[in-house]
Amino acid sequence: MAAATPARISRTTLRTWLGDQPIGYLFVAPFVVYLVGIYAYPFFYSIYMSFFDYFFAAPGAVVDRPFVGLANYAKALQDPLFRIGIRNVFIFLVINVPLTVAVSMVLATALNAAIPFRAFFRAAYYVPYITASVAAVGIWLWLFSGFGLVNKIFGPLAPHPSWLINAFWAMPIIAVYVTWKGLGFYILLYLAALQTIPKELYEAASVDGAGRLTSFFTVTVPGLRPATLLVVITSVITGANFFTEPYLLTGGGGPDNQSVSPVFLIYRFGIEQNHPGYAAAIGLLLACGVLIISAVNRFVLERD
Amino acid sequence: MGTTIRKRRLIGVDLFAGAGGMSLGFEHAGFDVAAAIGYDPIHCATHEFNFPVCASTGRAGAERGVGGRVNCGVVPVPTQDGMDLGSIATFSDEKSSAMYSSCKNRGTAWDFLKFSTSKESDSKLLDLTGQMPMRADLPGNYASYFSAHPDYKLFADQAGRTVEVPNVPNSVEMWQDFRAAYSKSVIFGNQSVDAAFKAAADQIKTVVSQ
Repeated sequence: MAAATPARISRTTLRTWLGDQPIGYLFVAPFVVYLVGIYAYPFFYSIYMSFFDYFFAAPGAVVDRPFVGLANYAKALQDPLFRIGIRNVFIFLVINVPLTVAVSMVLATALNAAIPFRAFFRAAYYVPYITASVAAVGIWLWLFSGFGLVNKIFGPLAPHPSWLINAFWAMPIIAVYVTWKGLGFYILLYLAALQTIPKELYEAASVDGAGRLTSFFTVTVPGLRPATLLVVITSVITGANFFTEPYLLTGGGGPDNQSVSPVFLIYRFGIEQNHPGYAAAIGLLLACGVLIISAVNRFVLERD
Repeated sequence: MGTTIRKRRLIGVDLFAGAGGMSLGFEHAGFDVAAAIGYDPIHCATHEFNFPVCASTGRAGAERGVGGRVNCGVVPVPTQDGMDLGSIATFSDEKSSAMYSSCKNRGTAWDFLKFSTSKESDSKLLDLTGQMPMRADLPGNYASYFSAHPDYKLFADQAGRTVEVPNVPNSVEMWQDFRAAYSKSVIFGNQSVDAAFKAAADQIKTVVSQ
């Protein structure tokens, strides 16, 4: 028997807070939980970790993790390995992003035209994208090894030491490998975008006397601009986070640490050497860098 | 197995080859690795897969010489000052088993551990694999085996003098420092060996003192 009168909330107040269709919250709840649990919580926790001399301990153990302020960030900025990592991200992006845009745009245009075995080629370019990284890396290791197919073809022109253990060639090979691996996905994006370019524009261009090449540069390329923005931003973000390649293709950031990437360093310091505070600082510096590059990309590419 | 070596480069022989880390280093440094001798047949197979142009062989082959082309034997690890052979120690790379305190059937597990490391089981291990059991006085305990396999006697003697890889906090970080110095100086020649290992030693001392 409840004596107190329940504090009734009026329907109108409820509606103002929950909207006309409160059940909508139920539908988005699973994804919100996923987003908070898998992305938001670890993200904010890593910000917290980066200010401490953090280390992993058994659950429930009471340990002292001293507050170190910005020391982790200062250490990262002075660390020659981190500098090599940042340099490698730049080498990687300078090769990977333009190559990805150019090659996937040209291939998508070709695959959009009526060419023989079109379905076969579309599938063939998509296969590397859905192949397990470890398997694809295994093949590339063979191709570019000292006695591999590539060196057999190059013969006396092959670099010495061989590609993946050569301080100059290791990063370009990684960039080319990632371009090849991701090409299928970006071709798919461009193929979809090509369907949105009105046929009339091509007709108008041909009436004006444009050949195939001219109409590619004056109709196709501008028409694909929104897709290009997406491709550039996606490939910069996934590219700046490259890890599998230095981990597997060059055997742990080799040769002589010349192919380390920031994410690889996060793994080495955070997981292998149990300095997650330092690793978190590296991660956040990388995230800031990627944000800045993405902002510049939007600013440059997203006009009109 | 072996094919002809084409260029005129320095020739190296990799002893204690394992899967071929040292062979790889030799190759990078400009050697042709002509032969490699390992102990464990599985490692030797890996070596042969990794370095098809190099003649690699395991224990049995070492007794005969690599494919009959190299006359070789086994000795303890060389030391800086030429120590007496009988007092040289080596890394054991021991394999251990342990029982967790949270184990549910401790009595049975203990019986099993005792059985699987008993003198008889160790004898079987030695018979089947040629691996040296963790046990004092191997030559005395398994005299019949070593009289049948005299080449293994040296391994048995050596098994009496082993040291373990030191296990200290942050050892992963120290090994990484050591590897980095080794890659930089010995493999890639980007720094003198002395300077690289001096720096690595300083770095490791800082890590130890933390």
